[in-house]
Amino acid sequence: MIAAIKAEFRKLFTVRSTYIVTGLVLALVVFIAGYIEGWNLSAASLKDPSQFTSDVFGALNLSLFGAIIAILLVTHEYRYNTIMYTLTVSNSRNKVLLAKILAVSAYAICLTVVISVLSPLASSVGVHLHGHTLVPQTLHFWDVAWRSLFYGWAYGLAGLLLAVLIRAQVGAIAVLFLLPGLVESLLGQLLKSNSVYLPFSSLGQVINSTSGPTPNGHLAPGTAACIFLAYLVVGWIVAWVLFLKRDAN
Amino acid sequence: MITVEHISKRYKKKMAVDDLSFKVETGKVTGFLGPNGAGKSTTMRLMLGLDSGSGHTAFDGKKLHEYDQPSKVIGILLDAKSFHPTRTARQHLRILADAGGIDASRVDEALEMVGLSDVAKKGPGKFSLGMSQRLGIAAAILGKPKYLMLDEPANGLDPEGIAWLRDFLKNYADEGNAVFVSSHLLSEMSQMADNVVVIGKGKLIADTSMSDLIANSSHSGVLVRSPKLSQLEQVLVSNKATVVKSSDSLKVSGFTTDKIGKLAFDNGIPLYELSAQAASLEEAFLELTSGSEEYTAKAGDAK
Repeated sequence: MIAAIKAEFRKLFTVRSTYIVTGLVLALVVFIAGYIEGWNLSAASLKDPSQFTSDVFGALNLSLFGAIIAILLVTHEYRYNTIMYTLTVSNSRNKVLLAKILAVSAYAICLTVVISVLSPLASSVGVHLHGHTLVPQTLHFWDVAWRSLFYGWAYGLAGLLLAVLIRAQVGAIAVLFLLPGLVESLLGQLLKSNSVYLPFSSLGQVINSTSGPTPNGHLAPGTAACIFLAYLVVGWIVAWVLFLKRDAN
Repeated sequence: MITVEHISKRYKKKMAVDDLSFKVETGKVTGFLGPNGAGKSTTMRLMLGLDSGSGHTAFDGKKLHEYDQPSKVIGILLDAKSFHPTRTARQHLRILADAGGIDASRVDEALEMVGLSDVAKKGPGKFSLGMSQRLGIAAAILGKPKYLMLDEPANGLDPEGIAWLRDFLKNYADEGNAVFVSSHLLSEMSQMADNVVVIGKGKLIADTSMSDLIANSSHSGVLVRSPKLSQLEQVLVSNKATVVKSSDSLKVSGFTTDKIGKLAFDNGIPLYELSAQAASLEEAFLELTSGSEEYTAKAGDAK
């Protein structure tokens, strides 16, 4: 198992796309948090004691890119047919898939931690360079931490899930963009307030809802996390069975 | 020994591999022949468990996934271009070494063996087909496996590369390993393979030694020239030899030169020429697979 994990990490960190996408994410975090949420911060927001929390959760929307890295990790194998090596050198497809999940989880969590630290840092630098001062910030550390880590990790695993199911690079990335944006928006028109139970709508509420009492039509972060987790579990059961049964091409 | 038993694979209405059984012996190179679309690649994928199908394949009595380190049991080259184009050749092999529990030092050894040390730090995306094949062979031998399974490994290799590959595979088999190799380069195969498995339309056509395959071809026989050709023909036919007569010679099948010489001597028939004529592998192959081609061109199509 250790051998399979080691190989997956090496796959992840020996292609340019990992560095390009990660670099793009970090650049966007610095720009959005430093310029938009820092330099250009409104006077009202300067007095908001939860501005750092907003910075973190806002920047976490870039977790989408972590999902793209996860998709590339799998779909490159099928596109370049290295999957035949992967499945031949290992004596178990279960090990291969578990190793991919662990590698993507580790990457997604690290990316989330970096985003979560960098965004308030860039924001406060932007505010400071513009000559403003933020009011003292209140940060509910553990609340922000679990919601951030769950969101980043879950997005990564959702990307990996789509890749294992679809196996085609363009198809998986297209679905990743279309599912939360277009498909769930259209379904939302039908489902009205129940649309909060759709997969990516529920995942979004993990970071967008407030802790404590929730207004109608919104889920508490814990509930939203449990709902998305249920989707993930069901999706992964299907993906796992297909991975074991399907031809490797 | 690799034992393949009753493997089959169906794609919707088409039977790609139909109840194939054969053995790949250690210490020998076994050639795997068949026309395009015969099911060779699918058979190899079934043997490795890459595709699902019925039947099973055992490597020294055990299924591949029952080994702790399958890469030390079998090395494969199914597609020369199976690599990420921008990941360096060395990193490509390092990944396989990591996954297979193989010492990292083997990576540079394998690259050295196939002559790719100078381009180890380059992405193989721009490699020629021959260089890609060499990288694929490096990947196959990385774990010093007992078995090698290679699909068209000579494609794209230059003459020096083909000669190197032939010697390498023969030596590899001579060391007590087994090599199972498919190729359309029949002249190469005839020099390299000890045994041959021939399939057509997914079915087994022949599983025999190279020498038997060629000897049993109707193109093999003994050429005889004599001033008393008709008399010799009568003698041979009466002894149940198969004889094809041309204007100045006979082609005799089923008899050795010794036997024909003795019959001629006993009957007082002088001989001007008595020579064994071996069929080429190509002749034997075309004879065997006649009617088993999946895709054939019509004469005169290329106008």
